[in-house]
Amino acid sequence: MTKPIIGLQIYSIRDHLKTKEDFITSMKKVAEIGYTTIEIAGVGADLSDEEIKQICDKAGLKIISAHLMKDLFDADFEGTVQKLKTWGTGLVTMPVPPAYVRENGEYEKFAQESNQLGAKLASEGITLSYHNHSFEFQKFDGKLGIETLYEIADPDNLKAQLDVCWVQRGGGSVVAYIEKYTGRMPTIHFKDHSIVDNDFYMTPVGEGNLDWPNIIKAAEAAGAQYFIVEQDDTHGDAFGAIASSYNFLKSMGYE
Amino acid sequence: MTSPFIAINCYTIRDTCTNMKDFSESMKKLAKIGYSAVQISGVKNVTPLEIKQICQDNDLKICAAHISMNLFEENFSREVDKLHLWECQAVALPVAPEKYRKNESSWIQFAKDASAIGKQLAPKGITLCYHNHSFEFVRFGSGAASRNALDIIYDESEPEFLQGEIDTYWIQHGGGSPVAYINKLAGRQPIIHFKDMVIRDGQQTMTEVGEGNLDWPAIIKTTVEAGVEALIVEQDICPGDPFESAQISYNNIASWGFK
Repeated sequence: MTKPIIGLQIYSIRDHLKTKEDFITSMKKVAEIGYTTIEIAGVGADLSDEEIKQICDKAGLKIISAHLMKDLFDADFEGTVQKLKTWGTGLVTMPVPPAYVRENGEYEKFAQESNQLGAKLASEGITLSYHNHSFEFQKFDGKLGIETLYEIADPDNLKAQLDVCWVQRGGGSVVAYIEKYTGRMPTIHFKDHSIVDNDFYMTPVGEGNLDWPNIIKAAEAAGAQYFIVEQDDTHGDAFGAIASSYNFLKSMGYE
Repeated sequence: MTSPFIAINCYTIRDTCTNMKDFSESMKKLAKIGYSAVQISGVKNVTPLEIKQICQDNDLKICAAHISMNLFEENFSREVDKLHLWECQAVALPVAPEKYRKNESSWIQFAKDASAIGKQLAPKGITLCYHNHSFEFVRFGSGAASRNALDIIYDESEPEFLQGEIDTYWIQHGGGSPVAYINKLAGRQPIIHFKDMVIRDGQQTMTEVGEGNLDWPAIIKTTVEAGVEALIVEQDICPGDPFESAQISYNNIASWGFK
């Protein structure tokens, strides 16, 4: 088993990805912090896939994954696969489900469609995952959405990109869910959970209340290849936040 | 190690604990569900003696109570007499008073002041505990070296004189692991609050024990190993009739081998 590598979901710094110049500067900063791998999402700049790849290469950042909506594959499967191939990544994750899931709780249908998509992508050498929030922890017909999804879809065709903070928010045991998806979790999302003014407050990894020693141990044991930092809300200090997360994970023995 | 027993905090059914007649009826209903013990909290307009008699009439042991810090400060012996009358050996501070919820040093002060009350209660045969919510998960100090107020409370108090009444829902709500906190307080936690977390309409909310998403097999195992005596059901918000919720929680915990 190889040691997991620290990655960054660049959605965390999306406010600094709005122009080509910003994107170039931001990728440099990300690399300076110490990150060597990134997951693509939230790039607002008008850049071609080749340009994104070149800029990341130049900064010394490897694109190891991307967040892409299922709709993109439905609209243009070949073109979307080509995008991933241009970026040189074999991992792709659906960041949210189609609208019908949130409207009607149709996890069974989503699982079947994801299963088909995942099988098609597998033949292209691409692994499909799903990224959870906390709404998947709602029960429909007595069963949690997240459980229906991962039970119906074949583990070969749909992997779990668990987001530890959202599992916590959904009421689940983070460690228990990591253990449950052992071998089915090439990537995992790390963000932390604190409380400010009696309310949920997202923080850099290691600065909140999540049980990191046990989470990290379980995630490595479960076979996660990348520990991806994703902080949706950095409270105005995006680069400070991602640096803090990186430094914490480094202090835990990763790079 | 004796097996923990199932109890309920009367706060769950507080709307029908506001006069003697309702309280009497409510205790009868709890006993009928199967509960053998209650925690007194949220009971109004019923005297301590009446509470005692009504509980006794229904074979309900008073295993715990919630008493605010200011009541102990106001009249310590009155509160002790009440607990003695109830033959109640565990009492929890339901919440830290506002004045302590400011900064790291005020939380440390709370730990010290609560310990001092606990130290006075110990020779009376009463154990003082603290009941958490999620606001105690606010953190002080910088970065990874920071710690939350709940850790300050337990790290800065005297373990013998301030013990835990972990609330499973609020630990999860604050971002903590209920199992990790139960472990942390092993041997220092005679009573525990069980409530569950569910997602409804995309939002976190409370539900009956065993009906939600908390990891009950692991929580139960750790609770028993940690030497907790009373598994106290507390559901601040019930979707319908609180007694129906009390029944569901009781049945689920009973199905795990407790009574």
